[in-house]
Amino acid sequence: MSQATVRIPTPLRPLTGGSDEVAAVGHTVGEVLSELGGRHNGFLDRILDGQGKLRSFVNVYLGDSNVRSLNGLDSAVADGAVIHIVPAVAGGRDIPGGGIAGDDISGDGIPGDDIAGETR
Amino acid sequence: MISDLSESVTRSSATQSSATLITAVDAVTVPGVAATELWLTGVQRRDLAYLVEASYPFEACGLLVGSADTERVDVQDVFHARNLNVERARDRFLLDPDDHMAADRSARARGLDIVGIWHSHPDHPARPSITDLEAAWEGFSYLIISTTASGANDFRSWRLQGGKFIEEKIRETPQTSSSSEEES
Ligand SMILES: [Zn+2]
Repeated sequence: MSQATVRIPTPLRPLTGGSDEVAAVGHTVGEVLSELGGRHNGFLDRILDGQGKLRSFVNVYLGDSNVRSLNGLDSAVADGAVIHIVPAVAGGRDIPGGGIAGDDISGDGIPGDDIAGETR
Repeated sequence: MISDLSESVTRSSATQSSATLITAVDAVTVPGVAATELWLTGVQRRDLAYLVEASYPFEACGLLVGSADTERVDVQDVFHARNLNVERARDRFLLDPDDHMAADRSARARGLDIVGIWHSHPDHPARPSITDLEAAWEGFSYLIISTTASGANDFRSWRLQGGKFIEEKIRETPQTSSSSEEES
């Protein structure tokens, strides 16, 4: 059994009594999160879906690595490990047609077609 | 200026509202966490304008690091993050979680926190879209910057509360001349 520190992002702190950091134990990331979830009602539901898989809008880091690039929830946790929960952040704007002044969005052909790879 | 914030959320018993509110990220009602003002320095505002203009006509996004209590969010640092949504960079963003992680580490090392998200709306008003709403989390400020070919023209900040975005005031943090000493 390893003891890990789990860092909680602001939006989930209401579920950990306001704590930004919580200690929890387990052999794997999944076990650590479940152990934590057992003590904090509602916490696990925000992280895992009905099948017990990591929700798409939540990222979990073990040390510096996103667990999706490791062994997922089965990634082994060493004693003293730090697990970060990182909420996925996404968004955008509404599709054109809103009649916004100065909009040149529609003048460029199919949105998203000529964009890939370009950076400025 | 203001340092501790983790303590300000001690009202814990956020009860899950049983209704499935809007989104995949269902809202948790958090009494007392709604901030009503976002404080930015003039320099931060200029930095943000620069970043969104440099990315135009594509969306730019990033994180706001600082401290927050129940009344105000004080921004200390503006982080620029990569947009992983390359295919639709004109109207969508997906903030690189590695950048998020880096900002979080840097924030915590200084006793600060990620307090908000910023992104641009090229040729679009600084109002949250449906997409923004669907992906939003309670507890963050969402700063949206409207920009056109002639530059950033509108800054507005929003907070998700009970499944809706509520606009919060943006205030200008007075620039302390030499150091950031407490005045109180
Ligand atoms: Zn948006």
